[in-house]
Amino acid sequence: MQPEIELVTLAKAGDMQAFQRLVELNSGKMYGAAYRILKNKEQAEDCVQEAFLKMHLKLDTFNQQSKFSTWLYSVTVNVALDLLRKNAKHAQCSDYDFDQIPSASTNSPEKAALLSNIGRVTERAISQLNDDLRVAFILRHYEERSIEEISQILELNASTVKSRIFRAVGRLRKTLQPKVGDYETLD
Amino acid sequence: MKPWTEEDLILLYYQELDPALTREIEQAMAESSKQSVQLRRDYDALCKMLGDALESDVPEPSADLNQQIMLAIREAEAKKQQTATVRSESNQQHRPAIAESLGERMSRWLAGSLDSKLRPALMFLLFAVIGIFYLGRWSAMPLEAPIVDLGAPSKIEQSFRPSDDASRRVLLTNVSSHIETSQRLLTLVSNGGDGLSGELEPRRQMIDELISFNRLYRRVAVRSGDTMLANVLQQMESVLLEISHTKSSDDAQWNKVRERLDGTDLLFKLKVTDKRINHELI
Repeated sequence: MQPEIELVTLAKAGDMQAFQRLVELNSGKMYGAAYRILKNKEQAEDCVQEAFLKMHLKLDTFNQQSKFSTWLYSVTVNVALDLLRKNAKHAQCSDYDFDQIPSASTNSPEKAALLSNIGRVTERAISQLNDDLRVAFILRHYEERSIEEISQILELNASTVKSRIFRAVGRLRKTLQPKVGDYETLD
Repeated sequence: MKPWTEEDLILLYYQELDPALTREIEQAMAESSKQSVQLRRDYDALCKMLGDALESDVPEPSADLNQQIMLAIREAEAKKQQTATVRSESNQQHRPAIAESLGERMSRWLAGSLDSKLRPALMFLLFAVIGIFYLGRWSAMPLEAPIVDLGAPSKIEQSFRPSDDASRRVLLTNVSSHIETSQRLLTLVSNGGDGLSGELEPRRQMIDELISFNRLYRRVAVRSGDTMLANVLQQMESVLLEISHTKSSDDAQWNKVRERLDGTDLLFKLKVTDKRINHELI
């Protein structure tokens, strides 16, 4: 298998097969990030398609000293954020009432129901974060990008990225912990 | 013991804490003091929340996502090349021709047809015409130019601007016509026998155009929130792509396309969607 950097060089020279290989290698990752930001399968697919189109057009401008994956994430996240701004669709799911979810402090069948609801609750809790915090958190937590890489993707300094991640975790904890109760009791 | 903050614990969880501090915090957690126990509990709680509670699934992307990406890129590339070719052709063909005709005619006219006595008179006439032109412009210039709001629509624009409703009707008419054309093609594929590949061969360009239009209409449907229409167009797009990529001689492949068409009831869905659109139009 050819290393990614070699494929990038070939694609820059106009080799469409090399670019296709880059698409095959990275579209899944990009789709995952786009889906987590947009929370909509079709929009995530459109976002990935648009991101690759932009990358193909701007491949000449890619500086091979930086990581290709950082560039990919940077383009995809920007396209996703543009889509979010256009649709403001995320606002529709921010009216979830967390007080309606039973507390886990009691040892009852409610706890089992709560556990099955955790995924849904988590998604709602994440969607309640504002876009800045949410994107930084998604990139660190789900996409496992380092803080340094996130600062390059979002064109921010590292301390701002850290601060956004801290605030995101803090808010998620505040939202989720009262519902989940003491995490140790869930085992 | 150093007072550790929640931020330190978050950085520790994501392995972003300075190595020296990481060793220090791990040592602190290994101790048996009350503070150490609390620190361990806090860290465990954080790990539970970030590790277990924050798991979320991502649905699988469409099987033909990569194909669609490459198709879009190839289309964009083809358009770019087409534009470049048209530009270079027009540059090569028209410019020299114009330059030759104008330049040659002028020089021939000046050198050959004009008498040497007439030249000063002609020069005077030329200067007089230019002078009158600029004098006219200067005298017509207002003292203070009125402030014009370029952003504001003109009266003519306002009276001829189509309403949102009119735009939607035009769009729906086009979508309906697109669905009907696609429906005819899919019916042909669904009923096609041995001669199907021969029948489809002259329609290759039409299929590619249908794919492009379908993508456009699907995006408009997604953006306007018509998920039902968007879903049907999404299904149709993948079938159209499959038809476009199927080799004409591959019978097994055609059977697969037919099975997919029958299995998804796409023709029926298209009929219903078309009816819905026509109903809305009425």
